[in-house]
Amino acid sequence: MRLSPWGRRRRETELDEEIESHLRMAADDRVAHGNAAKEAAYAAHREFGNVLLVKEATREVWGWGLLDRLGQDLRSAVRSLKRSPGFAVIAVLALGVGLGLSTTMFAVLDAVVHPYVAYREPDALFEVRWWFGRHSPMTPVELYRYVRDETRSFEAVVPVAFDGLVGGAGGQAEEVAILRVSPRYFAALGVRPRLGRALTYADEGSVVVSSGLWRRFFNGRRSLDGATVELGSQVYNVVGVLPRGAVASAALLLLPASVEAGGADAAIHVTPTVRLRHGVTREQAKAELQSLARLLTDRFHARGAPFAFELRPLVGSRADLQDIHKAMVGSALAVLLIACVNLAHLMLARGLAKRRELALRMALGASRAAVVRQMFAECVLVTLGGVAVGALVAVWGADVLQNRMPPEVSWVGLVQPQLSWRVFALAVLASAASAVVFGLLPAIRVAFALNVNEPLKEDSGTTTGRQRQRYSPLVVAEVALALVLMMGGGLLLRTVYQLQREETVPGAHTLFNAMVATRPADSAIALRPQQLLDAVAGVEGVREVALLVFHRVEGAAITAEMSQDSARTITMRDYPLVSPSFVRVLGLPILRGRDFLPGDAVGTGVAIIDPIAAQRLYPNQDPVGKMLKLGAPASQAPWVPIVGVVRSPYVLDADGRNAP
Amino acid sequence: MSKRIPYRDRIELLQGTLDLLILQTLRWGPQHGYGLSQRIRLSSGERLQVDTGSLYPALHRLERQGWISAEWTVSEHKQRTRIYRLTASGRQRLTAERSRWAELSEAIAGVLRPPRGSEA
Repeated sequence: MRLSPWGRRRRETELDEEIESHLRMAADDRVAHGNAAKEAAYAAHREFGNVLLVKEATREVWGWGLLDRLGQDLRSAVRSLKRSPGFAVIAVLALGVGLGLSTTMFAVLDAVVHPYVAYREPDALFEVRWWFGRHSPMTPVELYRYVRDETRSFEAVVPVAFDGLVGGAGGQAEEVAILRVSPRYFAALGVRPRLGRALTYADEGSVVVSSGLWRRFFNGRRSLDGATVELGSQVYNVVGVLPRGAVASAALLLLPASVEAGGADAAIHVTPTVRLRHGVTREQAKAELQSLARLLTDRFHARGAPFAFELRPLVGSRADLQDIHKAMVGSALAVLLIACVNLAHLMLARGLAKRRELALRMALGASRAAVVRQMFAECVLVTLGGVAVGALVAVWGADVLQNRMPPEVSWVGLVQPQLSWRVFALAVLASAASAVVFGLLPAIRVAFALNVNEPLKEDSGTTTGRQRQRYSPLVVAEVALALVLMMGGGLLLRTVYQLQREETVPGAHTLFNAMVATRPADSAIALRPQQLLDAVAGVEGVREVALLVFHRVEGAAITAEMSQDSARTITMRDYPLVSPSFVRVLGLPILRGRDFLPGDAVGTGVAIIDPIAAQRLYPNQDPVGKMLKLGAPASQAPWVPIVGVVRSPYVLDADGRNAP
Repeated sequence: MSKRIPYRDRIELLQGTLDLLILQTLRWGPQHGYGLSQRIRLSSGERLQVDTGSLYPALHRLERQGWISAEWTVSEHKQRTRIYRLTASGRQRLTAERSRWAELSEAIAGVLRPPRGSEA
């Protein structure tokens, strides 16, 4: 027998008809036996019994009993909630906002801890970085070819060059980070464009763009037809769009074929990106690279400045949860808890207010189960509403974080929060549990109370003092949580404000970086810094010029004056070499000592350090006049006198030395 | 026409036995609900009270289980009535139920039988 919903309606009317005909026949029978018509009908009806009960019993036979009841409960729950719209709205909003906000925060965290990467087996991908002395005997391209040809550990070695151009399309322009790659890049990394295709050797005038750029310039439209991007001074056809999480750069362009094939134009700075062969560990690859380095050092007689290779993971290692993230987890949990407690409170209050009504129902004959079921239906409805609102808030929140944050906080958007439905489901469970438990509590108490009369006798809506005491722990919990959250939020805001204040250098908006690009033909000429300064100073609108060059530190550390047995060092890789006007041009405040003087550039020069470095190297002493070694304790780097302490805007401990 | 036994003296039927009675009654030909209740009452000599509250649920349950089938027809009074009839499997079920009933009544009779020599 089909128990379909369409048949249900039909069966209901048929049952009505059947019972009606029964009653009619019974009445007719009685009339035939001499009763009056009206009396006969009445008697027949009475003998039949309760028509409604019969219908209900029959319905249960059909197997719809449970669903039918639930439907009824839900309908009456809806009616009941409509009668108190204020409660319904507040409960749904409280739950929804709590759910949505906590899910969004967890989404940000999720993206930090498990960043989505569109590569195949990203843990096997590495960049090969190298170091050599000041004058390299080889070009980067040649070095790339060595890595490609003389190693066995790598399944694929592809060249990659970084570049940056100003690009635009459709009236928008921005600085576009560019990756120049060979067509083998796509297969090696296992990344496929989600629209269009990858680059081939014939794609001189084509570009593959990132998902972000596609969204910004072309509104993420589905068709590639006619999409072009102007990069630098050239127009490129967009032939492909990468999926989200593919590259950090915005556009991929083709490297000249001569990089792979060999040829004249080999002055591009390429970096090899490699994929480890199956079964090869990172240590093994590193060891092989080290032996390659030794080989090259010998071959090119570069003892004084030996080659060194480093294997750096392409995809940053899972960022450890920093304190800020832990704080976010804490606040997300607090928000969720507050939402749950809020909801519990609301449901309790409602339940208490309805005690009279529930008692009345029971007095009229509703079973305990029916009463509890109806409250349950109300809780379910509120939870459903809250979940819907929560989903909306979560999705909207992720969108805001990704696209609409002001530039100061844009690092959050870089993280690309992924909504974790696991988290959402957990949050839903938590709040549903609280809604149901606290919604059902008063109902259960009424339903199973020994004395049903008691709630009926009370004034409607008031709670007795006894009840109030019992539920006050909830109030305490909620207030406590809210206070904690407020304090945490206030502290966070204060920190952000202070950071903002300290970071800016006075007049920062007038400072610009001029990036100097040398044409390949000039690379043989060592450009004298003074010439560079003069050239740039001559540009119209430039008031003052300073030069900053990063120079590698020997031994990856700088050292303070050594005492008998120990030396203080700071680990760093590069230090900035600056022209004398640097401090003045940037307007950095001098805390101790003095600025650079024109006469400092003789010999090894002098150093200016920032307060953090000063504290680390010479704690509780005046560093002015002490010596600084621009290298590890064991290295041969020269000692340089410290002449001043200046507050620097760089996050790394930056020192300065005068450009010779 | 037999004397009508007052309402309160009629015996209430157990659910399982109602199924048996319905199936048996339908054996004599298709019937509608009202007719069934009348016929059962008549066949029992007015001793059995068919609670209509259980009749229709029982009929629909039997229909769902496939032992009876139902269809709408027009009666002699030009009115639509739902007629039930026994199906083949219903017939088999009836036989099974009858033998079960026989066993049951035998068992109960065995408990109630006076022991030799006492209670006349």
